[in-house]
Amino acid sequence: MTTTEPQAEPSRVSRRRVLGWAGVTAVVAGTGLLSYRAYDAAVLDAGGGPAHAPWREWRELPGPRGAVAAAILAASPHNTQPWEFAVTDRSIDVFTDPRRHTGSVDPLGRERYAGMGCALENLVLACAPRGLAPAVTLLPDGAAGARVAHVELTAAPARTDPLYAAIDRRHTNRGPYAPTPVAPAALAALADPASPDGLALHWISDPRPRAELGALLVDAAEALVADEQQSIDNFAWFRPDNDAEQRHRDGLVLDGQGFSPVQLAVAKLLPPSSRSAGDRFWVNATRDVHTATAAAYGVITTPAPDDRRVQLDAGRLLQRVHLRATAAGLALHPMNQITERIDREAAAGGPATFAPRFAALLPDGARPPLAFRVGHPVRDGRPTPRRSAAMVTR
Amino acid sequence: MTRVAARTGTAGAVLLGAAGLVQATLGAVIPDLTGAKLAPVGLGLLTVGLAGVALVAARRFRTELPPGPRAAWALASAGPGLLCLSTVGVLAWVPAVLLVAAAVLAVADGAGESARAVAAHWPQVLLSALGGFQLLMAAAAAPWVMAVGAVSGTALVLAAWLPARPAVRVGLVLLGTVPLAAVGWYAFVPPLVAAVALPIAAAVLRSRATEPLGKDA
Repeated sequence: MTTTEPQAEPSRVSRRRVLGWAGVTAVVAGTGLLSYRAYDAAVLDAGGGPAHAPWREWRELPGPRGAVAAAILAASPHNTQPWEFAVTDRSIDVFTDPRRHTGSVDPLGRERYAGMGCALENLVLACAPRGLAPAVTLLPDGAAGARVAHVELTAAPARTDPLYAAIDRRHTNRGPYAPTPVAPAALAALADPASPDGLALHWISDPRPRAELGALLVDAAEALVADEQQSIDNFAWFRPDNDAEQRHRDGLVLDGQGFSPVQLAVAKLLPPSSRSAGDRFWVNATRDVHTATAAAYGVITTPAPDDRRVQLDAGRLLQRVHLRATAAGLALHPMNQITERIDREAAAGGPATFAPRFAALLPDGARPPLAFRVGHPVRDGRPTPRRSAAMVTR
Repeated sequence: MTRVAARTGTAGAVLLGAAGLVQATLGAVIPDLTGAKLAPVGLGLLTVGLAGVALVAARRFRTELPPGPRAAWALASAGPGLLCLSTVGVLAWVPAVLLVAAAVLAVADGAGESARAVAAHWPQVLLSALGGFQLLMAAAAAPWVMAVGAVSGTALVLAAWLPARPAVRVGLVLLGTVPLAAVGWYAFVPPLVAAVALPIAAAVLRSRATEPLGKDA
């Protein structure tokens, strides 16, 4: 006994060491897998890659092509970027690409034309700093034509514009907003001194109507995800990972969901979520973050929301409001699920359930093509991917 | 075999260096070939640096080396080859194959001895792997994080193998763990790599890991 034990001791210790280092090796291997995931998802480069290069390069491009480089940074429904441009030295024609749509989410094309209006506004704002005076003709081929605007350009003294300076800082902010109210004067300063004919901007900031509109937004979100076709059409524009984001350079991405840096990194490290999980996340975020922290809602109204010209003007107005909000340090988040349900019900010919509820919160006769929330941001919005000016120029 | 390994490694290193120069100068012009990187200049220069490491390894293959150093230099050949798959896109395919082949050829003679040598230096191998993970993450990072990651990863590899004074190696370990964990704290993985690396580095520094795995220190 006394002679065998000393011989057995080194063997037991060696086995323990081997097992110990095997465990350490397994931990290192797991760390390696996570490191590869961090590399593949570009977790350490949020907002990087070619898909985000247009945000960094747009100021450097001179002349009409520079104006197009500003136009492509505008908001659009689900970041579909439904635009194309034909550029000469003296003019820019703006076309809508009917293939880039959200299907049953926007069955009447209202949001697509509003998005075209947003791009047109950026384009116009970017002309003056480049020594160009733009003259805009809307729908030169009629409401059914793909050409939504013809912009004639003439030489003019270069001048700057505070809204132009905010173009690359304007991002949809889906994160939480601070509980600080936005003063009525600050809200009023976001509107145009004189809105285009037929358009009006209404603010809903008092607690009771704000809560009623918030509840209606949550109901609309739940109705939208319960409508399978709308859920499918929503999810079709979700880009679940960095590869898809860089390849498509459009759509809804994790960077645009208003996450904190840690939440964003974890979301990117995890496997992509399913459609049902994404729907649940959106409804919960609508209830617990978007409506729960909105300081006020803005609703752009018109008696004729189906008029293409009005839709373009509404988009231009929304873009100006968003740029003014950005310049003032306020966050803005378009929230169109109610109007998406209104249009869906209208297109399907079913009973109108959301239109009368929304109308009850608005002045008589006012119909809402666009709505959004504003507030003081807890954190900045992040840039979302963009196709470059060269990719959308004929 | 060693001569073939040296020639293969040299060819791979030279091609990798050329790929790095192409990435640094023309990466933005030919993104389809170079992986459409956001910071082609930085990644190109990083690739040239890794090609230099691989070239030194290839030159060492010409000389007679004990199994341990030979295995280490084989890692110095294969590592840059694999890492550069993430820095120069398609341009890395041929040099990566050549460098990995050179590493295999270099340890092919006396594979059992090489395996025992690797086992004897297993903590250093793990620490080097963690440095490689940092270089991998740096390859897809924002430019200034990329620079921090490149320094950190290199420092961790050097800490594993450099025959320097303990104070210098401790400094390399800290340089290889703290900065990237600090700048990438929000991304979870850089702090995790640091947390895993520190106790392994402590084991390396404490024992210098010269004894074979399975034998008590």
